[in-house]
Amino acid sequence: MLSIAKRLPAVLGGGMRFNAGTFVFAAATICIAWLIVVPMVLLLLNSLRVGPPSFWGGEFTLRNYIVAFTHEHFFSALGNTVVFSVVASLGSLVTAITFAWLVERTDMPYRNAAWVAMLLPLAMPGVIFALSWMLLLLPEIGLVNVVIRWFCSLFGISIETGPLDIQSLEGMMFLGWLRGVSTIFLMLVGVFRMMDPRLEEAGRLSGASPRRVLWRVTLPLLGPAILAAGIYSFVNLLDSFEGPLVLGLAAGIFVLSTLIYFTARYHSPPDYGLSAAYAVFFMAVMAILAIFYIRMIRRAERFAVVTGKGFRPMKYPLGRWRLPALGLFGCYFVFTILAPFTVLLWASLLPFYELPSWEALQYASFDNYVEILSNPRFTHDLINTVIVALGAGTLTLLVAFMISWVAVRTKYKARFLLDGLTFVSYAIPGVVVALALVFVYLQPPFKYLGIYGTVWIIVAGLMTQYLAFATRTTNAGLLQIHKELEEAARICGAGQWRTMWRITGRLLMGAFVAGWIWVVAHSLRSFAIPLVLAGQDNEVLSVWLWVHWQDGWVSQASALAVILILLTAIIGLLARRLLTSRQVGGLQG
Amino acid sequence: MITVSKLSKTFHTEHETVGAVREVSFDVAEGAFYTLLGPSGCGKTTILRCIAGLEQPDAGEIRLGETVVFSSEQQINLPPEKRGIGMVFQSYAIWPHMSVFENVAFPLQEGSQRFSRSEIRDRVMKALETVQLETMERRDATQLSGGQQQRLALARALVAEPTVLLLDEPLSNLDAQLRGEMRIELRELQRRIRITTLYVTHDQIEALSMSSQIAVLRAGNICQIAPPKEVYLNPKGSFVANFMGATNLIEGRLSANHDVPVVETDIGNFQCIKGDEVRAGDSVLLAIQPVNVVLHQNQSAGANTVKGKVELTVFSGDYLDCQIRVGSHTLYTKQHPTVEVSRGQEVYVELPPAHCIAVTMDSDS
Repeated sequence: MLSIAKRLPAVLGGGMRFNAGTFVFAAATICIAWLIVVPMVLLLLNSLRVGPPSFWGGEFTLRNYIVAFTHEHFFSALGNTVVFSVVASLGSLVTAITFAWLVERTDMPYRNAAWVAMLLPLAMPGVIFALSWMLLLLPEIGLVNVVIRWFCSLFGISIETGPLDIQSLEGMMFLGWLRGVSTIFLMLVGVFRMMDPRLEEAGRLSGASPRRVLWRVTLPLLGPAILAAGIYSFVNLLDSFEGPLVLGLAAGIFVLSTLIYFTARYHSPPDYGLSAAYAVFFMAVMAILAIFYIRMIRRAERFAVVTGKGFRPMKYPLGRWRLPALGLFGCYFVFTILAPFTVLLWASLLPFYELPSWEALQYASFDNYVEILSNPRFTHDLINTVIVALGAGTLTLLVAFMISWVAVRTKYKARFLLDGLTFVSYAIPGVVVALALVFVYLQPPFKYLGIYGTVWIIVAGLMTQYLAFATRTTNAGLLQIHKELEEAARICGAGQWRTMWRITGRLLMGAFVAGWIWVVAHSLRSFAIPLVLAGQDNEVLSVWLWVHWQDGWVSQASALAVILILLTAIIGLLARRLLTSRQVGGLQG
Repeated sequence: MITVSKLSKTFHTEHETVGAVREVSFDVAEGAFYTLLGPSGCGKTTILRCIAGLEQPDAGEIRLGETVVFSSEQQINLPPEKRGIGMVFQSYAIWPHMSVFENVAFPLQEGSQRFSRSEIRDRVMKALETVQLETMERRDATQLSGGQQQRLALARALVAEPTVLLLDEPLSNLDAQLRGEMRIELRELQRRIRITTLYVTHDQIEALSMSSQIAVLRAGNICQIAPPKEVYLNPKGSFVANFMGATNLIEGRLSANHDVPVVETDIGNFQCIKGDEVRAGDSVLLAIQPVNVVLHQNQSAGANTVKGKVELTVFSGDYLDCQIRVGSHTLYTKQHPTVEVSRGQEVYVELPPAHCIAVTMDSDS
């Protein structure tokens, strides 16, 4: 009896009906297989063979791994990656904790201004940030170096070049540290705000001073959350590409992500197999870290100190340190926004880059802007950029919605696998995604789709990269919609599709829009994936900017950079307007 | 009207089976107010959800009127939207993105029958009048109070004139006073429109005060089906007795040597009443409600009286709760608050025969 019943299809009677659950489950499975599983499998297979990617064939061999693990480049890149990521993430973490604590738990004045200083750097694309710091810290013409040399000459010390050089591992760490702060700040500031002040008050009543309470109660309680943020930042830096590429390419300093790019696209002849071997190794490391991160978050959630009730937390009195504390935010603002933007603005106004002076100001004009804006390549790349951003945003969120629906609303056993794969896919570095897509769309059967070299291959890459975040947003949104709201609609006579349209979809709109804006904003300034997948027709603005700079058009590229910064800032402002109080939790950045 | 036969459903979570239903059968007569009563996890909500079509049973048959909506043998499983029922959920499930009017209009827009705009308007307003929300139609659903949301959910469930109304613990989210009012209001409304109603609750007071028939469930099985008074006065088995508030349970044996039923226990013999299923010689439990235990200062002539010592008294306003030690047993009583007893005092405890019920012993109760 029972065994018969188990085979009963989910919806029978009145003829076979088209079951929405089955359809969505099938679609979500296909999307995950296509976006995550197939690229990773092909990457692995191609790491086991030699030859150009467009001709599938040859025998399987371990040659690539043998070359990789005996190559001096590999070990220096690995060492650089670890040192760079550890130092920069620790720096970002300490800075972000300090900033979050200052904003939320002290009586520091002008907290709103501090918030602006923390949010603005998010509008600066990474490649532009790194290029602007080249203008500030190149040994010969770097503005800061010139000032230092002038200052030293006042004391009779004469220095020929330098003393600082951004094109070094230290330079990478410096920029990685600066860029990491905002993201971690956003992750931690909520935790600092929501912490139950009674835990600290109990510490005070037990006779501890505010300073002792900070050390013995506040920080240990936040320990797991801080550690999770630290690992997140570490993973982000391992993955980072723009800074190490811009600063390291000329100097020959590589990290894993740039080594993969260099081996596949710069090296002559390009060695895709070797590059794939590096990528597989890279991905394995990232996957281990991702699993560690998941366990960390679970522990952080078990520490039930973050209660979410709206109370006023205890404010630590800073006394005479109130203004110096605010000064820290000022410094951060200068380093991340003011100095980079100013130097780019200056460069963009000159026909050739020169140090600021009254004579140089004579030549200042908007000619570069006119040149850039009237260049047909600008229109072409702008259209590509817009298609990529809107396409990636919309498609990613649609797929994310389907995965969330399967994970949250159905009872398929495979739902854990789908959700887990999606989450772990967050750890796949952008360069690795791009490299894998080269194999996917140059080799049968997917080469017959003909999307290699079009904007759609970039869209596919960005979907893989942002799916994890988008799914977390839609998961959270769907979990907040009580299941009975949908069941009530079914009882009221609406079918599965009508219920999804009139109830689930409408109630999920907020989370959907938030996730969409996030993906669009990140796609607009994405660089690694569009660069690796760049062909004749699918160039986006950030790639043109980099190519143009490489070709020596520093002034025009600066003008383009200023335009891009203003564009992302405007979109960011619009997004904040739209989302006002909505918090996008989880993976920010 | 509702016929459930041999309904089975098991849930498998990682570690255990929860809310399972084992071959449950019952009939709900047309116009009845039928209650499924039981503790949490007994499967009552599962049965309701199977009838609604929100869960798929493993086996069995469900009929609404003449329509078979589920049958494992005939391989029939109508989706919920084809069953023509109204339902009020525990959380009310009021759609927050719609106004009061839109919430109630939804079943008319989505149902199989087509209505014109003005018909929808008339019917919605009529449904809102039935639950006294006619002045609120333009409000956002989220602006309503808990009691109003409950009425709105009721209006939405009734607007399409379903043949069956399912209520899943609808009063459990209200505060105590409102719950009392809504009990009466809901029952009166049901009487007025004579809709066949299946009600799920864990609260025996709700069940006793509203139902025409009660089915008491335990661990996926029905223990007793009877009208409220019978369930209360003549519970079948120690589980039902205990659930109905007879928390004094004394182990004993039903004697065969008397004209009236007598239970022999190790604190004495007690006259009692019993159901047909209990036979002379059986091991039984003597069940009595705390309010029916009478305390005497001096030995009186009454039957069923034993001597005991007051262990504990707790004054709680309406009642004086006492624990009385009798031999190896502790008896719980609720006395009128003016009764003067104090801790350590010796008293005579009378268990009036009319309130002593011999019930069969259920496992683990």
